[in-house]
Amino acid sequence: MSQPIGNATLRCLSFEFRKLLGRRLPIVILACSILSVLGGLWLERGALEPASSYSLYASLLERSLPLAAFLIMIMSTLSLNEEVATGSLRAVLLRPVSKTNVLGAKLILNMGFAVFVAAIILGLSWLCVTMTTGFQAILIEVPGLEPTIVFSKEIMAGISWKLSLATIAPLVASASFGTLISVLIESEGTSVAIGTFLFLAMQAMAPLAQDYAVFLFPAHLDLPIALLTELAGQDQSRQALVDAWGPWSMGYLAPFGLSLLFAIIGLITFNKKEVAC
Amino acid sequence: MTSKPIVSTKNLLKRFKDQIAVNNVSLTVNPGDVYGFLGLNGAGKTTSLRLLMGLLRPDAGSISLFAANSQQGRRSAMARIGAMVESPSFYSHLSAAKNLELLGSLGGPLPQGRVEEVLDMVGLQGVGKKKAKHFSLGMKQRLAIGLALLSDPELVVLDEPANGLDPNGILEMRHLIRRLNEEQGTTFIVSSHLLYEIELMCNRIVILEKGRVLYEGPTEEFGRGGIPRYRITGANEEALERLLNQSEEVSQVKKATQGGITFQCQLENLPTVHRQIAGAELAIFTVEEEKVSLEEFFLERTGDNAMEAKS
Repeated sequence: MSQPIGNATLRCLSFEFRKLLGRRLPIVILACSILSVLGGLWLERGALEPASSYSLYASLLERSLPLAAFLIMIMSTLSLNEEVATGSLRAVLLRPVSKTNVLGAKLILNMGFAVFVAAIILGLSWLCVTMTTGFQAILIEVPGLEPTIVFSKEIMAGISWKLSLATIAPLVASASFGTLISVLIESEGTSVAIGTFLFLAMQAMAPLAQDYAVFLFPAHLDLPIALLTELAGQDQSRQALVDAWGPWSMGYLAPFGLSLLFAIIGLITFNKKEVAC
Repeated sequence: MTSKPIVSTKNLLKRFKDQIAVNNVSLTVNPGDVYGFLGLNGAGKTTSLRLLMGLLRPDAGSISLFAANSQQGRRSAMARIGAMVESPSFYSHLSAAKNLELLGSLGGPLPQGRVEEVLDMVGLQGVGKKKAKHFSLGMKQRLAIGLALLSDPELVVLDEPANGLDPNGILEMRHLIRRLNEEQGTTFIVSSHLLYEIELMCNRIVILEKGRVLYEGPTEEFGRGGIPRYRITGANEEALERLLNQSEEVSQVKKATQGGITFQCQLENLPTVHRQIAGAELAIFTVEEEKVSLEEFFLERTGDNAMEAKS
């Protein structure tokens, strides 16, 4: 009697999660992410004043998220081929699970880990700012005049969350991209090298891609952060751009779409491929 | 009682680029068999097992596991199979017990205490907490056999299970296979290049050479083509040899290296041969059925010279 695919995928997911708990790389990624936020705070210690709260927040994200995205991509890049190299994937495939179950669980776990790291970075950055400068309204102060509110505290809170959440999708895409590379390239060293090259190439190409920059997910990570920095600099003209970042906008959907595309290509390739394990 | 084969393949073919690794292999494993895969290195044993276990896709032919031959059916069939194919591999950062627990959980929840029971069964009691990276090859081999037995499967596939085991370990492994086969009716497929082990353990064998099946069937019947072979000793063996060569009931007359003459003859024709010898007034000391050892047969069939002579 065949078991429903969901059960096998859930078993694989539980297996992958419990296996992940004993590994060092995820702990290193978490530690690096936390340290990069705290390090950013330490570097900005000379400019901790209420007026720069959003700049500080954007700066903390800018220092930590690209590093996290890169490390998540590297971790995902090793998620399958490492097991091919050691032969442990063979032990998994000899159990009553399909290749789709195995890779599906890896994809879900890698992407879930990316969301977890993003949540840690966003939460810690938010906490750091709250505990140091506190989030304030953005004002224009002219000597001799009453300060003018450019963005109220409430509006900025909404904008900040909207732009912060937009950084999660590129991290998820990094995980999915890394997993795809892991499927395509069996050598661990080569896959890390190619992953790193493509990751950096996408960042470098972003200024040339213009409207299509949303599809270059590592560079796409910088867009909401840059926007937040510009708003913090009292640039009201950017309000329209912020409004364009809705849940159904390309800014949100393109990296998720890419994640899905990478996952589908990975699953098809893995199923067709004869794994040399 | 007739029962359906647990494993059957038909005209299985697998190529790696220009090289044919498995060529037209058809075999049948019945419930309760201890089935041996025998062959020299590169004969296609492991490739055949990888094909059976779905780790490779055949280029032609069909495989049926527990009467299922679809991919979906394979997954449910795998729930009834425990397998160790090629060298044992585990997650080095996890302990032996954790490896068994995690890999075992892929097939569903394990009964309480099963991991400890299996570690005990394969002689790894007391080292369950030790990380797999600190295991010797022999211990990894035992752990891999334990993993194959973990879910108490109906069919256990073991690829070269004696590799890395010391003589005691080989003996324990053989006893374990026999015990599970006799007490629980577990079916085993065991590949090996250790002829002696296969001969002692298996009731059916397949002998592979260069990807082709040389023989498939009961271990007892191999190499005789169904005709029994006898060795006869007597006072005048030269005269005996001449007489046997002239007899129409007898074939394959040869001088035996250990003395006497060997020949093949159907059992019902043996009294006639006796009468012919008695009629010629030749004294005979002994006549005994000669069992061809697997080693003799194997070397004869797989040796290059023998192959050339046959062709």
